[in-house]
Amino acid sequence: MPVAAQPRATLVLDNGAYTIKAGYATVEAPSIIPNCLARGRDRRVYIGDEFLTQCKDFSGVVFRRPFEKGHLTNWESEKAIWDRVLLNPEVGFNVNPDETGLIVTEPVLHLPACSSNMDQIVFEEYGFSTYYRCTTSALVHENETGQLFGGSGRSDTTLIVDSGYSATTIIPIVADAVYYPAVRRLNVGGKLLRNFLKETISFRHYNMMDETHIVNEIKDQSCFVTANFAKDLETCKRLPPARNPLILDYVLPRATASGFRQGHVRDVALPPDPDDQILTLGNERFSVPELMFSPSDIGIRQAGLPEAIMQAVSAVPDPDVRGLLLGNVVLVGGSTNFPGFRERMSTELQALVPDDVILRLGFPEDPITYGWQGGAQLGQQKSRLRSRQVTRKEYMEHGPNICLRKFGKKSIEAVE
Amino acid sequence: MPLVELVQKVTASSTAPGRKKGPIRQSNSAAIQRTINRRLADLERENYNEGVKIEVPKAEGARSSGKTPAVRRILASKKNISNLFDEDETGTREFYSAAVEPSRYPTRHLCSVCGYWGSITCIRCGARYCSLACEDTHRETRCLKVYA
Repeated sequence: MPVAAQPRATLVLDNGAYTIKAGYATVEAPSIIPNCLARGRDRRVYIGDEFLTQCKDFSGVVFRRPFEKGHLTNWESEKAIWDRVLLNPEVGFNVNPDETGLIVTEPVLHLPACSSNMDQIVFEEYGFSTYYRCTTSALVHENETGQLFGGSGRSDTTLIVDSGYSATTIIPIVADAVYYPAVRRLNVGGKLLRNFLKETISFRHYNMMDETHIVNEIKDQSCFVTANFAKDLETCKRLPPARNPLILDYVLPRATASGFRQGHVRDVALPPDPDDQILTLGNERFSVPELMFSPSDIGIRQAGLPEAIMQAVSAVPDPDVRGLLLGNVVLVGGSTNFPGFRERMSTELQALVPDDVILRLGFPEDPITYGWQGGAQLGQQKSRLRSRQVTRKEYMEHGPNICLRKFGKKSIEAVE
Repeated sequence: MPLVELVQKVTASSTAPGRKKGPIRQSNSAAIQRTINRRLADLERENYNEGVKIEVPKAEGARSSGKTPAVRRILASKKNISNLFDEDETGTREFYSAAVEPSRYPTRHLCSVCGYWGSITCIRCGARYCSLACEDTHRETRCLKVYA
């Protein structure tokens, strides 16, 4: 089999625990595909994007995800999803691995065994022509991050805060390399927030413990980060529902004669439909995302995100670098999408930063695909990619170890 | 504050000496911590029912077993994250040492029933609540009656 020296196309796969962001480096935006197997009430198993396009009834859906605690552990399910994403004509990538280079992401602090499994699958099962594996944060760093701060270009030192599904990680990148001794992980991610909301709704209103997907929609549509927790908590307690701006009615999804109707926030201008089942949300709306700022509310013995960022920065020995990091903070990941998150994050972090340091927070327009965008930029710069990637020929010659060697060994030992 | 007095009275009577299986005070922090940890583990679950097994559907023309022995081994692997942690001491240490440390600020307490400030601690299980109404709900539903 001839091995092309340089592949014709580069596919960027930001392989998140919740969604895969996939697309060729030359396209504008990636496809966002659920990274899961889902089984509906009808016992049918949906793979990846099938869940969103073909599943008609989202109640009682159960999920299986290849990720566990932020590590890619299960390749049996991941391969089924990748097969669909890469090879199925319905998804539309129709990847010909022989002629395609792959850029794929892995979680930061991924176990080396899990990383190596990915390397072997990429070359031995799919046979991609070239391959580059890195963390999502490294791809975020490839973007022209200066634009987020009203300038241009990019700094070689960035602090990336990635609030994902399994956890929120804080990753300092110093001189274009992840500085592992200062990486910090906060055990609050989208999954925990969703499950906490599910638990709360089930206790206070209706039992929705089995409605994972529906509760996730409720979370995305009605939760927000409060600017003043104490004040909003009082408002929720004191004001009657009719005059209370914080209380919101959510219309639960239901099966109608014309099919499954999605849940949505009730429009107060319209008269209520007597057939609708209404879920009235009060302080749940802001108590749930509040866990990012105060995980101790449910007994997690960790500091909130602003303090956690300061912990990560303090773990960097050089004070000048610390200043640079705080001047280039980029926040990505789905959980940064809550309304009010930016404002709260800015005020709380500003209060913790020393006076003589300039704090700049960058919020990309789309925090979910920003990592992929960086990957696409890298994919178009063949010369930069060439020095980092591993070709199939090299893999065949040297075996899996070449990937572990070339993509860099993670080490938390401080560099002298 | 009559409610506080009431709670103190109940506390005093229920922990009076001579009672064999008296409810514990909040000082039994180990038991309370175990309860919290169990709840946090529950909040990490993907599905409410942990026993859910979803088989990978067999695609037509399936070559699901893998092309090379190495891939077949990876695909057939039933190792979960705890097994992988057990096998890799360094990786595990690195993973856990990156955990964010506790806050420097005091913990605030919220009512476990309605979410308002929880100024009162349940004398039996250490949970928090804010009012008599919430206390009733708590006792009837969530109170775990942790015994020493």
